[in-house]
Amino acid sequence: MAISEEDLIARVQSKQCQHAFGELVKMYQSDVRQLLRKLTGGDMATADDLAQDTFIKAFKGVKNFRKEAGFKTWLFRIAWNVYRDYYRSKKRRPEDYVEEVPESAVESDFNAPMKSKALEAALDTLSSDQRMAIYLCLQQEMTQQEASTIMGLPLGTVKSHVNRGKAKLASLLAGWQREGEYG
Amino acid sequence: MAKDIDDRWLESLLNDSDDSNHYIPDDGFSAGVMHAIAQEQMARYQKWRKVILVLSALLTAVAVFYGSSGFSVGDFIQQTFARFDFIVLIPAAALLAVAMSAGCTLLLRD
Repeated sequence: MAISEEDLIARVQSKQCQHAFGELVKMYQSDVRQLLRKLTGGDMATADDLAQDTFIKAFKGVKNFRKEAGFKTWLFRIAWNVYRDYYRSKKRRPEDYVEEVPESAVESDFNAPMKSKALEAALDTLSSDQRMAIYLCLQQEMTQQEASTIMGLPLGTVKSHVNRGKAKLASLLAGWQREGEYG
Repeated sequence: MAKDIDDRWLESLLNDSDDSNHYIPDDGFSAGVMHAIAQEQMARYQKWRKVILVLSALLTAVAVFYGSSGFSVGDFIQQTFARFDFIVLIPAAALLAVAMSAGCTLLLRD
């Protein structure tokens, strides 16, 4: 019989059960690694290192998990902090890591592979706060309140990051919409 | 230009071409995490062992030194209680405990 997520969390909290935590890692590794790959601009090795740090920190701090938010929300908050600490320790802003994207990259032909690549390029032009807010609210379909909890920012600031991110993406991708509508 | 795009189109574009819904296979990742956690716990255990060994060695050395010079631990405790009041002894013991706790925390810090 499969053990529920609540039971696994309870076992880790009460007995520091590594087996139960291993099951939780299997359940959420894809979500956490995907998030960190987005934030690191597709740097898989760094993303996986940060994901490992995230789960180690989660194991150490699981007693502090109060179930006020979901376990995934809690993990995402740790991942976000791990990501920010990593770039802070390197004494450069996450934005500095992002390459400048030429305008031509996002104004390419309207075909699926190029579209995907250029969309990634357009997303990479956003600040890490905007990228995180867009990823959580639009791609993960979380509420802005959940995004606010994860990012540790006021709700209004998250809304502002989403709107500014959307506006920037819209201006970069406007050509595509016209091609999609008329092409 | 930005106004030409509506939110729904942008959201569908993000969801359609996004691979965030694609499952990343584990491929030994969770095993690696559990191995790293086990290693961290082992390192922590080794640090504790070191602290306990150092403290035991110090206490043994003190006991051997005073024992060989004819000093009795029982007498020392009796004299201490006779000389000092509890008003002095309790805060002194508390300070010693705090100092030892701080020392151990410092030694075990990651």
